[in-house]
Parts: sequence; structure tokens; C-alpha cells
Amino acid sequence: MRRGSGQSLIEFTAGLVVLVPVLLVLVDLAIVIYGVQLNDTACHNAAQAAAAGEPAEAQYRAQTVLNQVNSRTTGELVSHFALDRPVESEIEAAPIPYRDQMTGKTVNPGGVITGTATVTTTVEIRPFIVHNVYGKRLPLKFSCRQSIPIRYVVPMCEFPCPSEPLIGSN
Amino acid sequence: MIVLVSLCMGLIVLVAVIGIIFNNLLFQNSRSQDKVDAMALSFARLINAGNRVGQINELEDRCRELVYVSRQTEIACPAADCGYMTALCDQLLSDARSGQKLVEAERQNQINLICNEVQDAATRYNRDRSADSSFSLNWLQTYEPRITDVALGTIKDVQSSVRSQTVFSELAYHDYLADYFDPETALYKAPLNARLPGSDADLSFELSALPASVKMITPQPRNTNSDVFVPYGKVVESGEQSPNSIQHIPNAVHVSCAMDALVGPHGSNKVSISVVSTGITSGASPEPED
Repeated sequence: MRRGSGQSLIEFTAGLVVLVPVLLVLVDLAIVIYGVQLNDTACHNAAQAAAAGEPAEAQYRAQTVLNQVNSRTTGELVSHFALDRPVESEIEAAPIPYRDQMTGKTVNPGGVITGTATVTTTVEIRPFIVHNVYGKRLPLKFSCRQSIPIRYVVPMCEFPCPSEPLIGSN
Repeated sequence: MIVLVSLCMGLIVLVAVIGIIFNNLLFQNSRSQDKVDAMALSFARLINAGNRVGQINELEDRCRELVYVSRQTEIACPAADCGYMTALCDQLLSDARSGQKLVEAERQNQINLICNEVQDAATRYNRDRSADSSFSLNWLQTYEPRITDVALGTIKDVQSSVRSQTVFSELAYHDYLADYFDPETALYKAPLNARLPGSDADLSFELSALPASVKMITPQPRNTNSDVFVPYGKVVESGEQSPNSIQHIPNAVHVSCAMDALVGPHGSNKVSISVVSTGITSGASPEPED
């Protein structure tokens, strides 16, 4: 009877020796997948924000979104969402301000800006053991890149716009 | 005991692998949705490029007023002891009525242009789409979404971008009785053939639905709920361009895509996941006198 229970204990321990690393790898994989998906969502939200307003301020809006994500993520496993490079606003067409001959003032005719805002974000992920398999040092960095059509409409401005230089003025 | 532990291990690994596959499938579906949303938005933006739909609406409205005023003048001319100007009044009325034909021809031209541009954009996307798997594991391969259908139409309860003017009080009263415009906003309803009263009822003045500007602000293009989309017709069907059958200028586009996925060992099972999105174009730009 005692010999039988001893054998079971040894088999159970031997099983655990295999099972625990397998479980750890699975948990690690889950953390990496979770981090990549979180980065994808953050990148999408940042691109949406970048595309939703004045292209000159796209960087600020995208950074604000990432700051919010960073403030919500606690712990070290998945952290440090950041812009990998400045937001790329590729503008195909935009309304062109002109100088009104009658009043001598700059008039912005207003209208839709067409183009795309592209955001590239990175995230740092610190798994337990997976990085050893790939021989990489912690943290693992993953990046994501997303492009969203700009959907900003420049408001019509019949008076001198403070942000617009006067065309043709001395 | 060793068998029991092995079974447990196998079960845990199996559940985890199935979970990872399912999670990745959902993740890829979510990415496809983002992609189709962006596509619907870019197609929608084409519709009112350069405020062309807003301008056609303005042209229709002003042409209508011109015909109405010309008719009133032509009627009043003999009665107001200005008989010698009858020929001029007739000519003005004739010119105004001819103008309606020009505007109607341009409206048809714009419908064809919009349809062609959206068809070209959809065809270009399907042609340039990568045929390789965008995500690949041994037991799961997903592909970029391919466009199956593109429909043009409007969004429920969106009115036209032009307002009824009170300067022609009789015309405004006729429009009010005919329920042509919303008394609260004075915006003409759409799509609407705002026929004139009397002898000019044979002319059609088609007003298209388009979000109007509010306090000099033009509504932005955006994605919207597919449930409120009202189709006028399809421009792409089963991935192929279809003949244009649209009668009104659209303001929204509904894109249906299929995301193909190969699931199982060696991609033995092929599934297509439907992804849809609706985009509405930018609204009318404000007129200087608004």
C-alpha cells in the first residue's frame, strides 16, 4: 500500500515537472497575444483621433489617446504604449485660403480635407519565459501601424483667421 | 497516475490552443471591421467631393425659383399694362425652363460620376488586395477582406441641404401645403421632386438628401449604423461592377465584405465571415449668405 502511494507521488511530481512549464508557456503566449491586441486597439484609437481634427494637431491628439491607455494599464507585463514615429498626415486636397480683393482679408472657403492619417505605435511586453526561447532581452517590443482617412472639415471663415498668414500682405 | 496527468495535460493544451485560435479569429475579424470602416469612409468621401451634391441641390432650388419668378412675371406682364414687354417675359421664361433641363442633365451626370468613382475605387481595392494570408498559423489562416457588394443610398430621415425661402411667400405656402419641407428647420425633405404649381408642374426639380451645414459648420463624413441605411441601388454586386440603376444622388455607401479564413489542420475548412460598414459623406458647405 505504501509502495503504491509512493509511486503515485513520483508520477504526479514527474507530471508536474512537465505540466508547469507547459502552463507557463501558455500563460506567456496569452500575455503576448493580449499585449499585441491591446496595442492594435490603442493604435486604431490613436489613428481615429489623429484623423478626426486639424491635421496640424494630429500628433497631440494621438499622444493624448496613448497617454490615456498608459494611465489605465497598471503593472509591468504590458506597458509603455508609445508613438514609434510622428503621425504621418498625408493630405491629398485641402481648401486653400485666398485674399479677398474687396476687403483685403484672408478668407478660408472651408471644405473637406482628404487624405490619410497613419499612426505607428509600439508596446513593451514582459513575458516570463517566452523571450528566452527567442533569445531576446526583455522587454519584447511589438509595433502596429494603422491608416485612417482624414475626416476633418475646415470651417468656412470669412474674416481674418488668426492661424492663417495674410497672403500678399507686407 | 501517469495516464491521468498526461490526459489532464493534453486537455489543458487542447483547450488553450482552441482558445488561441478562436481569439485570433475574433481579433482578425475586428481588424477587418476596422479596415472596412475606413474603406466605407473613403468611399463615402467621394460622393460629395468638392461639395458637388450640395451645389446641385442649390442649383435645383435656385432654378426652381427662377422658373417660378419668370412664370409670375410672364403672367403679370399683360395685366400690369406692360404688354410691350410680353416677348421679353416669354423669352425669360423659356430660358428659365431650358435651364432646368441643363440642371437635370448635370444631376444625371453627377449620379453617373459618383457611381463610376465608387465602382472604380472598389475594383481597385479588390485588384490590389493581397492574395496571401494576412495572418497564418498552422491551424488558422485569415485573408484580407474582399468586397462583395457596394450599395449607394441615403440615411433614414436625412433631409436636403436647401431651405425654403420665405421671400416668395406664395411659393413657400404652396410648398408648406404640399409638405415639401419641415416647418421646424425649413429644410426641404429628400429625396423629393419639388414640382412647381400651375403650368410648370411638368418640370422636375429633384432634391437630394444631404446633411445641411449648421452655423457655418459642415458635418464631417463618418461611419454610421447600417440599420439606418436606405439603399438606392447596388454599384458592385458579387464583386463585379453592376449597371447603374440609381435615380437619386446618394449621400451614403454601404460596403459588404467577406473575410475568408481557413481553419483546421492544413486549412481543411474554409469559412467566410461577413463584415459590413456604412459611411455617410460630408455635409453641404455653407453658402456665404447663410
